[in-house]
Amino acid sequence: MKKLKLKLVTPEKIVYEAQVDQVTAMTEAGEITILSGHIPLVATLRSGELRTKTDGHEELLVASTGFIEVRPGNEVVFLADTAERAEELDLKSIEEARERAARTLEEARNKEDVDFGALTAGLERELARHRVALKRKKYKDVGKV
Amino acid sequence: MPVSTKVIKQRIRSVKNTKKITKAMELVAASKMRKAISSVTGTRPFSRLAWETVGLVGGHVDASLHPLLSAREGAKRTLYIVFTSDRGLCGGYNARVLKESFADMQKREKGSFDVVTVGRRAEGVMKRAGIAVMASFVNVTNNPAFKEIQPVAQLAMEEFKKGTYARVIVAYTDFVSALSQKPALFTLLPLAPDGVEGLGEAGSESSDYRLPITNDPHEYTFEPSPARVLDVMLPRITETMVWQTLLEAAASEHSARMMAMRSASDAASEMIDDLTLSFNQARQAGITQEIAEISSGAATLQ
Repeated sequence: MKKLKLKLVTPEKIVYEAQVDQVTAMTEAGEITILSGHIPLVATLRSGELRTKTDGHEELLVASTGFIEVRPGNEVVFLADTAERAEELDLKSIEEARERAARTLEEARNKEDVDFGALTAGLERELARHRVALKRKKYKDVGKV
Repeated sequence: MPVSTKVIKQRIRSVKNTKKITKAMELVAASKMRKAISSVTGTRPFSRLAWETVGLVGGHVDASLHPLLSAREGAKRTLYIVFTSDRGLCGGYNARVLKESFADMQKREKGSFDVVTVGRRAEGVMKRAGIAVMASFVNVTNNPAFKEIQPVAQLAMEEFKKGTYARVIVAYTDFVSALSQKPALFTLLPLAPDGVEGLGEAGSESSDYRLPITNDPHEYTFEPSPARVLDVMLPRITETMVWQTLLEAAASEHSARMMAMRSASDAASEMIDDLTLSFNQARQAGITQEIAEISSGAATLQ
């Protein structure tokens, strides 16, 4: 089967660039899996995990809001605000970040005129990172990844 | 005795002091440049892909689907966003980008455009040229932060959506390398495929930045819906492009400043060498003259 040319970029850097068999990501409309030969598509991305599969080997990543674009010619481009590989995630600092995000949101509830959307997005991003970090930990403990 | 050694000594001292200053400024600019270059090269892939996406998608959707894709009917005016530095002492950096923008402005009717400036230099020059400055953003190029440039993008998008402007043109300096920066213009809005001059940026592969508008037969699917996707995507991409422009401008500015300060330091070193030579000559001439005087005095005594 022809491979997908996958690129995951954030404004800071290219996080992931590889030839993969399939990629699964969370879009606003739900989870989608893209295989080779997918029709051109543009979708909005939600904070969540992103899995790639290459020759039976799975890789776990996490991406926050952005877009996904499937281009003609088996090219898949993820434009995300932030993204990380699962192995780069540090569970402890994520837990702190998550708590911080939740707290800021809680404090903001009492005030007017704050950007709720941005805060909620921040919390959602931390939650997604947390989920992926936990999942990775679980895999590591049983020696799967 | 041509020039007194005292005068030359004073000049050497003053040139040495100037050299110390320019050297220090060179080092400061060099460290800022390093930071700016790493961030500009870091964001380039993202903005390039985003820009390509606009090109690909733009060719497949009806331009009426989103207000950023085409100018409102009846809109005629042009908005320029000019990126310069806040401070001088950076060689021809500001002059070049301003020259480029003035050349473009001359093509348009007088009074048919407005200007938004980023950086104090442009503001001053525009005022002197008698061009109305609609908004001026200062203190953003020194330490670029996304939050501070967002209002520029917001302003451009809002005014464009309202139909005040038919197009928004950005004038900035493209960062090619530490030694070379190129002033450039590109059309930010509308994000429409037709008539886009392309972002002649990113130095080496400038042709990559032309919008790859194609008539390829592929039909794009949008999830959840074209309107929703464009609604989320286009403002974000516009912001990204403005951000990228700022980073290009900042990297160019610091590089230009570093080069300017380096040549100033070099010129100072050269001047010190020349002055030291004249000083030694003057000293030698003084000694020779004194000996001549003494020996002629001794000769008269005999």
